Amino acid sequence: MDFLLIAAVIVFIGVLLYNTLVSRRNQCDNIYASIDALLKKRYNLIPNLVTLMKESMHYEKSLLEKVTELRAKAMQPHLTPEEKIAIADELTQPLHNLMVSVENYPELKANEQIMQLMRALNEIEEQIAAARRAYNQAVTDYNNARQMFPSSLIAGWFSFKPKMLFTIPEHERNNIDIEKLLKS
Amino acid sequence: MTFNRSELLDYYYRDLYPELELLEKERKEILKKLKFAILVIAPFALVLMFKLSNENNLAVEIPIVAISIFSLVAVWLSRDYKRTFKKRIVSRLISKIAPSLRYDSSGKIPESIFRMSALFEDDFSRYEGGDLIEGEIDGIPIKASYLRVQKSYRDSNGRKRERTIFSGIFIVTEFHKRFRHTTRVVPDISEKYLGLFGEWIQKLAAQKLVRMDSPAFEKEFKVYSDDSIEAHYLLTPNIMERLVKMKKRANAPLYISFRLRKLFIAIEKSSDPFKPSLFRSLLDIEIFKRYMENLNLILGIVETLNLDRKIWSKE
Repeated sequence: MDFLLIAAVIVFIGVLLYNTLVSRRNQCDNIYASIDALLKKRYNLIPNLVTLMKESMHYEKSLLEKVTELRAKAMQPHLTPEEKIAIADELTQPLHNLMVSVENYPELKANEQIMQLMRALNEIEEQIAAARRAYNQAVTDYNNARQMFPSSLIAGWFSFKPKMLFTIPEHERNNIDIEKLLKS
Repeated sequence: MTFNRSELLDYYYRDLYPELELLEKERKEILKKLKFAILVIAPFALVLMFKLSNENNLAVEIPIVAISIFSLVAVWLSRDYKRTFKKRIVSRLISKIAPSLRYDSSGKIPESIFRMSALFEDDFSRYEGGDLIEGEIDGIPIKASYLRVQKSYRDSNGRKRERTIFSGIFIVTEFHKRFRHTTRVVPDISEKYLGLFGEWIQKLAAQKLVRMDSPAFEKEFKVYSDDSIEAHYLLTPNIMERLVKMKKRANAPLYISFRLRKLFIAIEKSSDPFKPSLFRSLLDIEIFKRYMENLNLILGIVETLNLDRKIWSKE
């Protein structure tokens, strides 16, 4: 009788731990899906922006080329989540540089269409930055649960795989005041 | 909003001091009357206690009744003094710092806004307040007032009691980002008070607890939101750092909610932030500094949280 009771308690704890691992993994997947949607929005904006900027931004040609090239890479079909994350990470810095370098071109600042695109891009960039942080937090919680005893046993038996973290660029820790940059 | 402390201290000594001296005289007069009230109430209470000492319950309640009567007398005697102080000192101080702001000593944040914040229980029986400050700071609309919200209930003996839901400074302003869900930031004291506020905590828990990526922030606050990405979008590392600093400066529990395009901030304070002191000299610089601190918490909010940061997403 005692043995049965102990066995029941162990099974109950096992189920709880399993469910926790599943819900944490699902949380990561949900946030990842949101990041994917945001990245699509970002990629949709880039072609228009590059076309409009190309004529004025003579000194930023290589930057614009880099952005276009990375976008093309990101649009390839059948990319793994890890590859998508890696490309998105790689694109963040050039896009950030592009937004900052607009300050050197008064004619761009005067173009309402470009300004609108920049506003939209800025909002998406902030949302992506937030989603990366939320994702990293969710992945950290999941990975911790995977590695900590006793849930590590369950994770091992049911092969819960580790997840990769986004790298958060240093500049994302400090928001830039783009309006101020433009005025200067 | 730049807050030049030394300039304000100059203003205090140059322009407000003569007014304060007049009010100080008034305060001393009130104290004299209160001393007289004690001389009348205390012996009366003592005699009653002595006479009723056999009936235990009544004897215990007499000091409570005596103190209540004394408090009522104190409030009644200092009514005009309080009003004059707010009109001549607080009002002038605010218009000195920000001439565009309106101040109404008897005005308060409407109940609808308090409810809108979804920060506290909305089932209350008493809603009081004062010191309404309204207007724009650096182009950002702001409304702030003192609030005291209470709920009455019956204790185990069937006696009517009142519990304070919130007492302190309540601020409502605009946030520079667009958002759709509700995000609440509350002090991390839930476990300590689980017994008392269990029911409310449960209601909050209906929303998801979001873990943030700043250990210093997580130590002070708990974040509840319908959308963890939006919570991270609103609470950037920069804003989290600023909130931690604000909490340290206020040295009081801080509640924040982002809801219906607005930002609500509630700073817990046990009493009216601009109440003139009755038992300490008005000329005491420390008292003046306390008013300044409270004013700074309200008027400095735009700067503290960088709310006037213009971003491209919201014009």
